[in-house]
Amino acid sequence: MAALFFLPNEILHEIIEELPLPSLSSFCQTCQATRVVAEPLLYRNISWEIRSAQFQTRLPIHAFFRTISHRPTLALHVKSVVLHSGFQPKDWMTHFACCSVPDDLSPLWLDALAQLDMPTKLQQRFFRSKAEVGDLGVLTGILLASLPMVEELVIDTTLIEESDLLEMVIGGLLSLKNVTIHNNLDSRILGRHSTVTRLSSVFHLPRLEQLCTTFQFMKRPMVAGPKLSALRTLGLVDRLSYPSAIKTLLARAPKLESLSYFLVEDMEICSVTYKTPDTETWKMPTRPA
Amino acid sequence: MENANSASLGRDRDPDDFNTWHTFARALKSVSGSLTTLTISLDAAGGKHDRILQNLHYDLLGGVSARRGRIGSLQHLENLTSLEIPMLILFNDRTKETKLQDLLPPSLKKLTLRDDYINDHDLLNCTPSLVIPALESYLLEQDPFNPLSLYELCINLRIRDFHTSIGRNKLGLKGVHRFTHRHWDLERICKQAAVRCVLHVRRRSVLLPGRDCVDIMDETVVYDPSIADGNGGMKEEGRVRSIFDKLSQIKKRARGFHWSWGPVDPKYETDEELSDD
Repeated sequence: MAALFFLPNEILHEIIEELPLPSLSSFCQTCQATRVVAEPLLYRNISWEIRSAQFQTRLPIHAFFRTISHRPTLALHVKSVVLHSGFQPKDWMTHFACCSVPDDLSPLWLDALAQLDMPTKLQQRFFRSKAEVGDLGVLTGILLASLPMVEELVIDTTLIEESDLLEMVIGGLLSLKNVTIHNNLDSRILGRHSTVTRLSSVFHLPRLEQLCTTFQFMKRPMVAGPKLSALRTLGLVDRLSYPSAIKTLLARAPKLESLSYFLVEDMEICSVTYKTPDTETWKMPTRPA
Repeated sequence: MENANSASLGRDRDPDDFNTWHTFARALKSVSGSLTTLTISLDAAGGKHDRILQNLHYDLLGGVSARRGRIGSLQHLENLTSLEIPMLILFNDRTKETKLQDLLPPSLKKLTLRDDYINDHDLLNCTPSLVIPALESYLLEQDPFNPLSLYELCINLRIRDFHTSIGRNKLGLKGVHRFTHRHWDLERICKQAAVRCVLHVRRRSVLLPGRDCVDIMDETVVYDPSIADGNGGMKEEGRVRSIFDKLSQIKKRARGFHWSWGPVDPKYETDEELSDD
């Protein structure tokens, strides 16, 4: 083991980066010296399903939150978070997404929530009541808020839908560079469900380099803001957003290199709104004489 | 027209919210100096009731495509090297009068055309067969003082009705020698222009766990200058490649999970069964 530490740090890192997670965990527990080297790597990438059948009783979100509550410095190592909701589209609309919170953890969750800035006390009370019953959207939001150095976030649309707290928290993660809001409702098309995702906070992250997100019902004021001078790659799944919103967003990204734009022509909404004021959106403008 | 429309709508409406593909093209001006890759795709979400498309009033349905219009010129994208775009957005119902050399930037190196459409009306108005003359004009009638940079042309077809219109034989890949004149047209054009041409035809889509949809595509290399034979034509064995290795990867990923064949939307259904040969 001593010989291992004669290696330069860069080479040692190269070696242990190749270790699978269980081996990395074992290596980390070998001695204090290995722990110092391996611990940042062990916590660098987090990836799990929030609501997995495998963890009905012990959800990984609780175990991880307990760890970082006891050792907050570990949270600083987390650079990448991949969270899949674990919901299938068929049960997403009907299932109320809650989990039981272990008794010893409940005060920790509520303390962490109390430290978040909320616009109103009413919202604070609302989210508190949700956290008490184990609302997975709120718990995920609290967890993300405790990871201030995270640079990459991949999260399902259905999870975002669970709670408004997530949008508030994501908007506060200023170190985020790479964000993917994964459309897990349908393979290519949103709109099989009557979702109204208006996730606008991601468009205000100052260090954003890569963004792939759903873009539903967006209007120009929601995406207006200062320049996103680092944004290089943008992917939008557009459902019923205003074209002026796209124009405003692109004007904020002067260094954009790659744009992927998928437009969902939502016929169902089109038919529903046929006799409402929104009908004009779908009518062909009269041609000038 | 815009003033009249915006006056009749709510205060939050913008005149740019009409003639939307043209607006989209104008919006790209702000990134014209940096944008190198642009991918546009579209689809119609029929919702839970697929019959809704048939039940909609025709004017409304036709109006969706008409309201969107055509994207118009993209020549202001001076650094664009790769463009993937549905034929409907590029041509709409004007395949005869559209000149691609007036729309596409000279810096373009790879052009991919897709057959995304909103309704059957679009399907008839903008088939690959109708687009081939425009491609011929684009590739062969070049300005000698401003030659094209294009080296690859891809045509991605997902809709069954289109397969035969570009000459794909219903017997499948083994019947490749029976390609009709349209296919040969495409080969002749690309051969003359020395542009690589690849045709992707969708066989099936697989809905993976996690709701990711993967298209199983047959790849036909219509013309490739790098593997052309001595006469400038293509060697027969290099003409067709089927992406079955991708299928085997998918099967590996899907093993152990519950998975199903997709997609649900009947407009994507094909007659052909997938085989491992």
